[in-house]
Amino acid sequence: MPSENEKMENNLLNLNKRVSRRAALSTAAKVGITAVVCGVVAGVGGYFAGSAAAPPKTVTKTVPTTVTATKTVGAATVTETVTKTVTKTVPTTVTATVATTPTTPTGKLFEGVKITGATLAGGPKGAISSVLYHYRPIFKELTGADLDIVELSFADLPVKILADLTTGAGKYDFFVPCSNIMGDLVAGGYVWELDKWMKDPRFPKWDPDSVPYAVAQCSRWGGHWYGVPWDSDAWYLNWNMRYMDKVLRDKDKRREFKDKYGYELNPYKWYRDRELTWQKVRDMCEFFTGWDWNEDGEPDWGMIMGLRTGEQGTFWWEPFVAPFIVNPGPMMDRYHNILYYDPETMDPLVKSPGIVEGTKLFVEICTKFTPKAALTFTFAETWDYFLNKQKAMFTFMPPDTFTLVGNPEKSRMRGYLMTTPPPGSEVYYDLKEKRMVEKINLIGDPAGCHWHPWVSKLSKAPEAAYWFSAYVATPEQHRLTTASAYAWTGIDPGFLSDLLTDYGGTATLADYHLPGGFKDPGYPTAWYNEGDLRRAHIAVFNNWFAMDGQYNYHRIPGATAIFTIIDTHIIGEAIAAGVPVEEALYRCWKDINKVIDDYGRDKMKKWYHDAIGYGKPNPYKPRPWLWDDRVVPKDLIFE
Amino acid sequence: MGGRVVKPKFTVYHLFLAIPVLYALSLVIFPLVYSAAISFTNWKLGIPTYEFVGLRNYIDEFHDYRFWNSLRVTFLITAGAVPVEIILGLIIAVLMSHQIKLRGFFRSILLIPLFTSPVAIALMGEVVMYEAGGPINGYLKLLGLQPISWRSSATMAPWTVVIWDVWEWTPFCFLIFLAGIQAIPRVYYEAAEIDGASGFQIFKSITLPMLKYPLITVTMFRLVDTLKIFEIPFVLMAGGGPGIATEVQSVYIYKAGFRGFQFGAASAYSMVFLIIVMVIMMIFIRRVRSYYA
Repeated sequence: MPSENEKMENNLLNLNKRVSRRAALSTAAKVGITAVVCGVVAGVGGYFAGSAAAPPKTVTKTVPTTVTATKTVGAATVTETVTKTVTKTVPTTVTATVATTPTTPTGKLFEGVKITGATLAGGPKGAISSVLYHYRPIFKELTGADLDIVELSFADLPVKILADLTTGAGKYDFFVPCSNIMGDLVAGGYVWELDKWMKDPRFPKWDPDSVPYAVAQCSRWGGHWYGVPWDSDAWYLNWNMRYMDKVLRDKDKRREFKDKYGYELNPYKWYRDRELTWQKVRDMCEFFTGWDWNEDGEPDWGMIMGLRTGEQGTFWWEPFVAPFIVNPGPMMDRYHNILYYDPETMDPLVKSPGIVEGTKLFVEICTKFTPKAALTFTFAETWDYFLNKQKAMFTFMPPDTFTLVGNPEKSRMRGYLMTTPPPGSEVYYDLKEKRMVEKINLIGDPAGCHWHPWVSKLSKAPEAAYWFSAYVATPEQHRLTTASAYAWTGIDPGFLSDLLTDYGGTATLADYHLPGGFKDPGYPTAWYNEGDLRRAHIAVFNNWFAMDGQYNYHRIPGATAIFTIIDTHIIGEAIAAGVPVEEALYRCWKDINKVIDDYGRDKMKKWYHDAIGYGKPNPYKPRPWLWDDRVVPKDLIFE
Repeated sequence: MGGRVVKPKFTVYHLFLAIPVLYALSLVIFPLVYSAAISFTNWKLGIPTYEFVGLRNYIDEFHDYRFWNSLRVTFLITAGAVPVEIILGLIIAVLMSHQIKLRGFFRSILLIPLFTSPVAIALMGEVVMYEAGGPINGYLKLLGLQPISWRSSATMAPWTVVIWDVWEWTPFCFLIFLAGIQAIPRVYYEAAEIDGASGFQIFKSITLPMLKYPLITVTMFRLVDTLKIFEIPFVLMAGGGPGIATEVQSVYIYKAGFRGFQFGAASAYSMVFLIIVMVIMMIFIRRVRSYYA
C-alpha cells in the first residue's frame, strides 16, 4: 500500500504532468461531440415530452356581484346600485391533454383545448392585456377551453412573434400586436384567413359593416379578413375648454387675436363648419404660448405632444401631414387616397411638396409652441402635462385621453375636454396636377397601433383562437371593452355600435353609468363625464365616417423599419437636432427606398397593391358631418 | 530512438477542462461563427429564406452616415467618461486609503452605484433629470439659474450619458485602485517621509508608479466596457435620442436588428464593431508594452 507521502507525491506529479497539445485537442473534441449528442437526445426527448399532459394548475375566477350602496351626492342621499367585480381564487386542479383538433361537442365546443395568446405587457388591468385577462374565465365557461396569456414588452412583441413564426416554434396560437407588422404576417403567409369562420354559425358574430373602413383595412388584405378588428386607434386634437372658454369670453383677448392674425378666434365654429385646420391650430398655439393663461404663476404653452424618440413619433407626424397630400377620390388609383408611395413605382412620397409643407408646419409647432421637455415625454408624461398640470392648451393624442380625463388621480380636467378629429389643411398637393391647391382638405386618421388579434397558422387549435377573438368583437362585448367597463383596456371606440344611440350607435348612457341630463355622478361611479363622452363620440364618428377622405395604414412588410426611419429623422433630427426639414425628409426617402429595395421593389409593389386594393373603387363614402349643439357653449360660437 | 506513441490517460483533469471548453464553444465560438456567417446574407426576420449577398452589408454600412455618427458618439462618450472615471477613482482611492473618520461608511456608500443594475440607473436618471420639474432642474430654478435640457438637447445629451456612466463606474475604478494602494508596502512611504518628501511627491514617485498594473487593468476594462455601452443611451435616452445624438454603436446595431428586422445587416455591423474594438485594444496593449519596456 503506498504511504500517505507517496500518494501525495503521485498526486503532485499528476497535477504537474503536462498534457500534449494533441491529447488536449483530442479530449476536447470528444467532450464536445458527447455534449452535442447529449443535447440532441435531450432535445428530441423534450419535444416528445411536450405533448404530455399539462401540469395541474390553479384557476382564478372572476365573479361579478351586485352591491347596493348608499352615497351622498351634494345635499341628497342617493341609493346607487353598483356592480362590483370580485376576483376569487378557486383552487381547481385541471389536467388536460392538449388536443390537436377541437373535440366533438360532448358539452362545450373546445373542451380540453388550451391555447396561448401573446399580447402587450400590462397585467390584468393594463392596456390591451386586460382584455385577455377579463375574457379568459368567460371563454372557459362558454367553450371549455383554457387560455394561457404571454405578456411581452412593446419592443419585444413584433420580434418574438415573427421569430416564433419564422422558426416554426408555434408557441402562440394567436397574438395581439401593433398592426404595423400586418404586412409581415399576411404577406409571409403566417396567419389564417378568417372568411370561412365568419360564416360559420359555431362562432360569435361580429359586424364587419359596423367597422370603419380605415380600421377594417388594418385587418383586411386583398379583400379578405385576416385579423379580427378590435381597436380603432386614431389621434385626436384636444383642447382645455376651461381656459379656452375663459379667453373666448375675454373681449380684449379676442381683439388681440384678431389684430395679430386678421381673423376671429372661433374654434367651436371652425369645428362645426368643417373649417378647423392645422394652420389655424398653429396660430392658436402661438397665441397661447408664453403667457400665464392658467394662472399658476408660470408662462404656459400652446401644444404638448409626446415627442420622445423611439416612442410612437410616426403617429404624430403621419396624421398631421395626411391632409397636405392625401387626395380623396372615388378610386384607389395612383393619385387618390394614398399617403406613402406612388403605387406605380413605389417611390416614397415623403419628399413631395405637400409633405414638405405639412412637415414644416409640424416642426414649427413642435419647436416653437411645445416645451422642449416634450422631446423626452412618454405618453404618460404627456397626459400628465395636459390633463393634470394643464400647462398646454392643446394636445394631439390617442383616444385614451378621454378615458383618463375623468379620473381625478390623473386629471383635473373632467368635464372640460374638447375632442375633435385631426384638423385638415387649407392647402394640399394635387398629385395628378402636381401643384398645391388651396382648398380645405379633411382626412381621417388611422394612426396608432390598432391592436388586433391574428390567428397563427402554426396553431394546433386555430378555431378556438378565432372564437376568442371574435367574441370580444361582438357588438355588446366590444361596447363594454371600448367603454373600459372592466379596466382601462386601451381598446378605442370606432365601430358604429360603440357610439351612443344619439350618434348612430347602440350604446346608452347607462352603459357608462351616467344618469343623463349632463348630470355628473363623479368618479369612480362613472369613468366619464357626459359632456366629455359626447364630444369624444362625435369626434370618433366624424373621424371615421364623415371626413373627406381616408388613407390606408402603412402595413406592407418592413413597416416597422420605416416607422423607425420616420421617427429618427423627423422627430429626432428635424425637431430635436434642428436638421432642415428638406434634409430630414430626404434622409427618410433614401432609407425607405433602401428598405423597399432590400425586400424587392416588385414584391413590395404587389404587396402594396393588395394591401390598399389598388385599381378598385374606394369603399369609403363620407357620411354627413355630425354635430350636437348641446356639447359646446352656444355663446362661444361667433357667427 | 524511435519510440512508440503512448496514449494519454483520461483523467479528472480533462473533465474539469471540458467545462470552460464547452462554455467557449457554445456561448462564444458558435455565436461568433454563426453571426459571421449570416453577416454575408440578407436575412430578415419574418422572411424564411435568405440569399448570400457577399460584402454588400459591409459596404452599405460604410456608406451609411449613421454608422459614422454612431462611431463618433461612441468615441466621444468613451473619451469623456473613461479619463474622468480613472482620475476620480484614483483621487477617491487615495483619500480613502488614509485614516479618516467614518472611512468604512463612506467606502460602502461609494460602492452602491457599482452594484446597481444599469437599467435601474438609467430609470433613476429619467426621474432625477426630468426637465419639466425634476430635482436637479428644480434646484437650479431655486438658485435662479436656467434649467438644463439634459435629455432633449442634442448637444447636451451625450454629456448626460457621460455623467451617468461616470457615476456608475467610478466606484469600480476606486475599488481596484484602493486594493492596489493597500498592496504597496508601507516601508516606501516611511522612507519617503523620513526623506521629507511632500504628499504630492509621494503620490507621484511612489503611489502612481506602484499602481502601474492596476492602472493598465482598469483602463483596459473601462475602455472596452464604455465602447460597448448600451443601457444608458437606450433606456435614459430612449434608444439613442434625441434623434441620433446618443446613438452609440450598440444601439445602432440593436436598431438594425430588432427594429429594422435586418439580422444579416446587424450581424455585419457587429462584426465591424468587434474588429474596431479589437484594433483599439491591440494598439493600447502595444503602446503600454513599449512604454513599460
